[in-house]
Amino acid sequence: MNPIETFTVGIAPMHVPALVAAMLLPVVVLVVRRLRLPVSPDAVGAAPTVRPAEQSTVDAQPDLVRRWVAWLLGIAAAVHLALPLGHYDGVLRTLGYVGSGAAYAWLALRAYEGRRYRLGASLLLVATLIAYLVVSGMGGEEPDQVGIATALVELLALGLCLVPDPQAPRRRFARFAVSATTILATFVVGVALWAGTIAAHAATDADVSTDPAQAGPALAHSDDHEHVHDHAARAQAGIIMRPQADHHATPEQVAAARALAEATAAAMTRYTRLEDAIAAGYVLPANASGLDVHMDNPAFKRDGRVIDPQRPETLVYAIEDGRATLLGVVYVMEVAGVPAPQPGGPITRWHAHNLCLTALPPGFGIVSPFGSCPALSLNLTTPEMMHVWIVDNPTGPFAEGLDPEWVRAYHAEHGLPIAGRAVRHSGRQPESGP
Amino acid sequence: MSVVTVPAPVRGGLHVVYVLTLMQVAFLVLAGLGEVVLMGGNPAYLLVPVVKAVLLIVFGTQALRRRRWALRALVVLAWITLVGFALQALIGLAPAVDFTVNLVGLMTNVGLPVAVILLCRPELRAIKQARQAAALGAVPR
Repeated sequence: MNPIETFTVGIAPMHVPALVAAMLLPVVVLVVRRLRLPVSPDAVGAAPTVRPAEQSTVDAQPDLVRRWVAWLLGIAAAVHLALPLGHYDGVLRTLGYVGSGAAYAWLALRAYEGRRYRLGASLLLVATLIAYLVVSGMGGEEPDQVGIATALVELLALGLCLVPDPQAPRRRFARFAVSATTILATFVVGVALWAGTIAAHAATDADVSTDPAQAGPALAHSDDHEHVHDHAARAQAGIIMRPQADHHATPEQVAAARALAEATAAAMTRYTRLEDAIAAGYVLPANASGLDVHMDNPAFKRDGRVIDPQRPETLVYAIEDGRATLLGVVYVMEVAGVPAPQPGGPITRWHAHNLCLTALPPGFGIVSPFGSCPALSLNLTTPEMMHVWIVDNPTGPFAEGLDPEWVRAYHAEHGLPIAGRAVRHSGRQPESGP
Repeated sequence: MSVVTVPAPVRGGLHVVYVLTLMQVAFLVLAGLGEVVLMGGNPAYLLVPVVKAVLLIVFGTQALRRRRWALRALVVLAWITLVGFALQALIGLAPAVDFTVNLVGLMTNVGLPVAVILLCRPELRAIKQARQAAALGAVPR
């Protein structure tokens, strides 16, 4: 995908009206201000005067804080009010969107006019954030860029509402407590979004089975496909995917996927022993132990071939207790950003990873839902890749991952002893060998 | 004796910078945690993120007290983030890798540092002018 496609994939189609509403907010505010205020040089950029009756309840917040909170709450209001335009989720949730949107708009106005807003806004912000995490955590909505951006806006507004005025005397402990709360709230929301995204990604495994008995609705044609199959890793937090034009594989695509899985399994019998893979040019990584050790073949990675069962770019082994089990392969595209062919349609679904490469110490992590990487790191995205498992995996040959417990049991039964000569050739030693 | 007037920046700008800094701290720790999990739970990968997070907290707290060095440090860090973003976009042009640009990434890696720079600038200018005014006042006549 090119950068523009990747950008748009991150935005769920049902959230486009909400994004447009947020972007139109400055125009709406300009129009409302023109209608409400006398047009004079003094009025431009100034908050309306507080009515005398409310002077006693004016918040003692600094001016810029009030303005920022007003805008942030305004954005949240626009998003929530426009959400029902994108998707209908029942009367209760629609009322919730509209009600919270109206409350945000009212609080934004109060903040703008210098009236009390902090308590009400804080409660509403916390409630909205919790509701969003609950809905996305229960699979009701996949976190996407608009949802996460709105959560960010709400977290910033919450921080500004909570942190006391620095000019206020004897508030040092209060400032420490609410600062820690702001950091913790942002962290917890990030972890929850991450967990929800990874769980949603793993849940797609049922849809990529080529066995009709195991297949999810992608093969069984469920009526609930809207919520089950629109997973496109729109949080883009470690996983980048292309949305599927059609979530239902045709009989030809099912046959093609099966043929690919069988061809791969047949070709890989030659690498059931680890030393044969090493002899063929696959390289053991530095940490050559675990239940999903990936071994790349540098020559196959630049041979110009795509989905060649004879030359998969990466092999995946379980390596433990001096024994190795070949679990499957990973087909990898040579050039990043180039969409890979999908002979099996939605069954043969590819993905890429956006990673953080760090130098101190050398390593890599995945990009957080907030698009952040650790300090001194580079945020880069890999070419597209696709797993094909050659073992009798319960979730099928095209599952995104394997259950570690299942792999451990399979490895205990099928693992082959690693020959010392081959491991010495790779420059590595097994943790404990025969 | 001439009177030098120093324009005060809009009140509350440093307050916003402080909260933006707190959010950056959370982003850093979260990203550090992601790397620790992927690198087999090795806590060494938390070292650099935690050091930067502590520095950000110190800079943010001192910026609230209108310390010029803290404001400058925050501006420098914001510029590093912006330059890093541009650098990553350039590296992403290489065939072997790509660079993912999305809405949230733009907010946190471009919008946030730009906001910090824009909010710190009037404060730095005001501090500079105040110092110049003080220096002028100290000159014996």
